[in-house]
Amino acid sequence: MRDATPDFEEFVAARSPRLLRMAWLLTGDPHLAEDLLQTALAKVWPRWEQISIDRPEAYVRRVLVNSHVSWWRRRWHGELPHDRLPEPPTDADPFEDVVVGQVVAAAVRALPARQRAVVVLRFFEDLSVEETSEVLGCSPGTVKSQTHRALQALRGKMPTRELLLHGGHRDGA
Amino acid sequence: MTGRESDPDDGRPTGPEVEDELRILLHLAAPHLTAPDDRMARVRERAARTRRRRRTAALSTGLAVGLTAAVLAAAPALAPGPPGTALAPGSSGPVAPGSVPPGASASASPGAAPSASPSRSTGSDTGGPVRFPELDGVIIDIPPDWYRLSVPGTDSRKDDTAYARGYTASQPLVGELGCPTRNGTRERVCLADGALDAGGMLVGLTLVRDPVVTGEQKGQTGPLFYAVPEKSCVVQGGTRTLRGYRTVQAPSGPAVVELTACLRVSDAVSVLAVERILDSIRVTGGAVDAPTIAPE
Repeated sequence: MRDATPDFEEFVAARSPRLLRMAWLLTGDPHLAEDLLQTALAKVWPRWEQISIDRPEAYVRRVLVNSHVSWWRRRWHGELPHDRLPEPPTDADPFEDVVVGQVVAAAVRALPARQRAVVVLRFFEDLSVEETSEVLGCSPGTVKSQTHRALQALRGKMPTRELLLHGGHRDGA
Repeated sequence: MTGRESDPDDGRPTGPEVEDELRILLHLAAPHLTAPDDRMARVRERAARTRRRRRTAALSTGLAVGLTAAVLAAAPALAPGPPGTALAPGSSGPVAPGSVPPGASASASPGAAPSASPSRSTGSDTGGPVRFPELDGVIIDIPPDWYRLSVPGTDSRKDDTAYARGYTASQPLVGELGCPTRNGTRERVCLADGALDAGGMLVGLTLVRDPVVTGEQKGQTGPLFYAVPEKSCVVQGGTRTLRGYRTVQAPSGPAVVELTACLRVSDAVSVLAVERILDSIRVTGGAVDAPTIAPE
């Protein structure tokens, strides 16, 4: 087996933090997120010389999302142990970032894998409909309809703009 | 959420403001996680493991006809017995449930020769220390009535990782020839009963020789953590996978032992049993050698 090329290691060092956050949004768990990221990188590494020329991050992102969808298809989406349970904003202190984070994560995690991927790619990664369809290997129309369904499903489950503006931001963030 | 509604084809069914709000929320929610120092080493290890699996799958497909004939010819000896039966080391037929396999609980020296090419695991009446010769003599303590099996590596190339594996389970185990073919491939080891019973557990151990991993994992005493169940676990009825690492001073140098447990149910009893196995990983002391499967 060849050693990792410096370019790949540089890519991992530079882009992993962002990809890990994306993986966390997909999985909702830090251990699974790291597992998902490593799975994707391990798939990409042997082909790095072929893919590194043209938009390597897009390729890694695609592998990451598809790996997650593949996990989902294996029907393992049971509960994970957590130290704290996410609480609805009405019952918990809504002015703590951690609560906002947990509520958002729980709402996103409740979406089917494909819709979750669309939400993360479009609204976290800021990809266009066309770029998202390229990553997911589907038509732009499918991305639009998945986006629509996802936003419908998220309605009412997310913290409000009011909460964001007055209580959800970190100090200095 | 508010805003424009409805046309699913416009891609912005609830309006740009709400989309911006969602962007902010997602960025707020996603934590800045700490990266493990050994991420690259783990990626290398996973890539090597995947390559090996693919090679094994290709080999299995190519030899499917021959292996099928071999299995049919050896069917009487390989057919799984009723639950609870086990083979004595070196024997060719199941012994009666509840009987003590001759020599199964006898103490063995570190240099003792492995059992003669068994295709099934042996049971341990009283549990206790078991040595995996193929894993540089790694020893674990297993619960009473558990089974154990050691599988040598088949990769002749010098990779970052060693592919030999040690197995222990709450149910009898069989080697590759006794495992069903799924999608053209067979697991190296599977449960003789075909699936985990309620409360059943299958634990696999791998010795990682990657110097980067061993260097960075030195002194590893971290707890078990949940991982996504591997396909090999799910097909045997597993619903949860636990993983953990321990560093040992193997005869060939420091090495990291990766433990992966496939659980039917992750109740407190099961998790505690796996934790005890993880915490018992060592390389010194007396133990019974796990039978070694002959390379296929």
